[in-house]
Amino acid sequence: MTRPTGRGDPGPWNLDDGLIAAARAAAAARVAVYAHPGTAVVLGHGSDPDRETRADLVERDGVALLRRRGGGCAVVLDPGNLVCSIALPVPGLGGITRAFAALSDLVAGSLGDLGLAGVGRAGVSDLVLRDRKVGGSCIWRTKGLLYYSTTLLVDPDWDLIDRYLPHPPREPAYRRGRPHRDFLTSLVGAGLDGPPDRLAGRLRPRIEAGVAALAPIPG
Amino acid sequence: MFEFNLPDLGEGIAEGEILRWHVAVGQTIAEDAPLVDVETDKAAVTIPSPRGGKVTALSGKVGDVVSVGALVAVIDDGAAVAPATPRPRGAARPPAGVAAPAATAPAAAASSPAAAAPGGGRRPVPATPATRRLARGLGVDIDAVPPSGPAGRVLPEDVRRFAAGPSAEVARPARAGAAGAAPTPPAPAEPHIPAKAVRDDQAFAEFAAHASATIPFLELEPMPDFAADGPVVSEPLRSIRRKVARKMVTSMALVPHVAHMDDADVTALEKFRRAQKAARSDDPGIGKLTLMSFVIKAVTAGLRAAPAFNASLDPFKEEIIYKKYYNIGFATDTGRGLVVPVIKNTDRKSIREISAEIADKAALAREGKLPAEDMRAGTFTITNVGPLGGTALLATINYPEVAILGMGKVQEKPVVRDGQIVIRQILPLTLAFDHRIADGADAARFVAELIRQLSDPNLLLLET
Repeated sequence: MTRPTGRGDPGPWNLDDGLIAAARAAAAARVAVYAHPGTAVVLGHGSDPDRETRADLVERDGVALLRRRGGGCAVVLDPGNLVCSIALPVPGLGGITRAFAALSDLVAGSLGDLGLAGVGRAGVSDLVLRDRKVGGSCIWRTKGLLYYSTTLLVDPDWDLIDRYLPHPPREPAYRRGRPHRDFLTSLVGAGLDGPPDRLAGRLRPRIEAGVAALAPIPG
Repeated sequence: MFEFNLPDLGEGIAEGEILRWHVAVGQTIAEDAPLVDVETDKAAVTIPSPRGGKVTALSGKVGDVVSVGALVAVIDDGAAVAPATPRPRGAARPPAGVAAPAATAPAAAASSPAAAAPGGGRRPVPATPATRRLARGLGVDIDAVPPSGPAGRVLPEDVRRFAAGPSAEVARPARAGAAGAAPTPPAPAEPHIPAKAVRDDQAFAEFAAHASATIPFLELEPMPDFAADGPVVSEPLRSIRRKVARKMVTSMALVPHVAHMDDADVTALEKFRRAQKAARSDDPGIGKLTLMSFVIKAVTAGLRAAPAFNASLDPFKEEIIYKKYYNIGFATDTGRGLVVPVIKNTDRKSIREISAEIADKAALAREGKLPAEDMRAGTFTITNVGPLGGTALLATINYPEVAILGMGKVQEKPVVRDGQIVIRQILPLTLAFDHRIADGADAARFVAELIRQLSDPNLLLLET
């Protein structure tokens, strides 16, 4: 597989391209909720792998290095993470702020339906329990289409995060310089019943219903 | 020609960082084909080309930050120049002779060896700052002066000769030839427009020459190569930090700052505040009652008595605008930079209401969710470094306001009262103000009134 290199090299888009193509083809919203099948380091659209990852360790360990279409910094995905992605037709190019709010609220509300109350938003697009992050979101926007993806930390391998990700070059104010383990927390740790793939099955219909009932996002 | 400006991407999004160009200058792009990827916070946006045609200029390089409304690209679609949307004030504009299409680019000077830089960008003619000042004083466009110095340098006598001769009366468009010189064909367009920052040697030289000619004794040099001395990490000046940088430089450049310092005895006030907090911790207005709430109320009272500190000075109309409303901003450290939420109409709000509003707005600011409306129209700003320590601070005025109050740390200190040394809680205050509209005596009276209000909670009750 071709690996993204420098910042100017987008490399192949490896995440949810099928979902985006399906939404385009159908001119209708499409939702995917899945536990990530293996371990991968996923770069943001403009991430520099040398700044946001320990690229030498990623390569030495043979871990997949992917690049998503959405923005933000690099993350580690493993089977303990749940990816919730939504691609939907939205006219124009605008609506990013509202989309972050509406779709993150939708995911938080769906988690509430499953019995995990208290998930809120912090920073630009994080999902938090109190002041600790349980999910990170990103958006890719182009004319007529908005793609939103959030990664939920269900039961992640903290060692992998520490190993592959240095402290990010930029952080939300509420992180206050905290290292990964003091800043992140997991849904399982908060009392939600795992495992991720079963959770995906319960979460998906709720998110689909929420997307269907979503107020139009102005473009 | 079609000038394409960065479109609006959503509420509160003012700029984006260029991640990737999908085309290069000289290539042809189809309408709706991807033109550029930009990132704003955690959203990446692939912006399609609104027109088909040949790309004649691209604004910025990967990593540059572009404002909404600023020029992104120029596309030769076979039509006359037509901006897609009006540029907002302050948005990046292309320098003359760069963004303009080659067919309409200003002519390069045949007689001025420095007039046309490689790539078509403007390069300043060599001249000392004194010569430039002389040219300005004589109303001469130094670019039009035929040089007689070494390496094409314009000398003072060149300027005087030009000013005295008939050619001095010839109004010359930028970079047109000197008197009598036939215009030459335009140089090829510079493919990248240094839209927001000085990013290359040529642009820096031009900027430094202009700045040095404008400000006596100013000497600008490129940054040293820090990486040669050890490991470094560079990152773009983003979002809030850029806004803070602009505000601060503008304020320090335009406003003659003066500071007046004094101490307020807040022993009684602190006793009252702590007692109320403890007794009514479940009340959102009282439970988070901070000293800032009282200071805002005291400042409001002080501003009513000293309207000069609640004013703005319009340097262009040369008039002072006295505001009859009291909107007090309080500086908040968000971790990403300084934000100033504004409490509006503080003369009509109780300390309790102000306290609750401070807590709400500070929390929203730290989360990056404070609406723009809650950060505008301030008339006076307070900044408090007390919780972080420090005995006093000299703050920069939040231009176009004319004064800012800095609060230091409340500390127990020995003071003399009625001939006795007693321990009191002392709040250091520093008022930085615009000396154009107020003098030291005005500041002393204003701060004395603050101290009087803050020393006796009963007086503040009269203001609620």
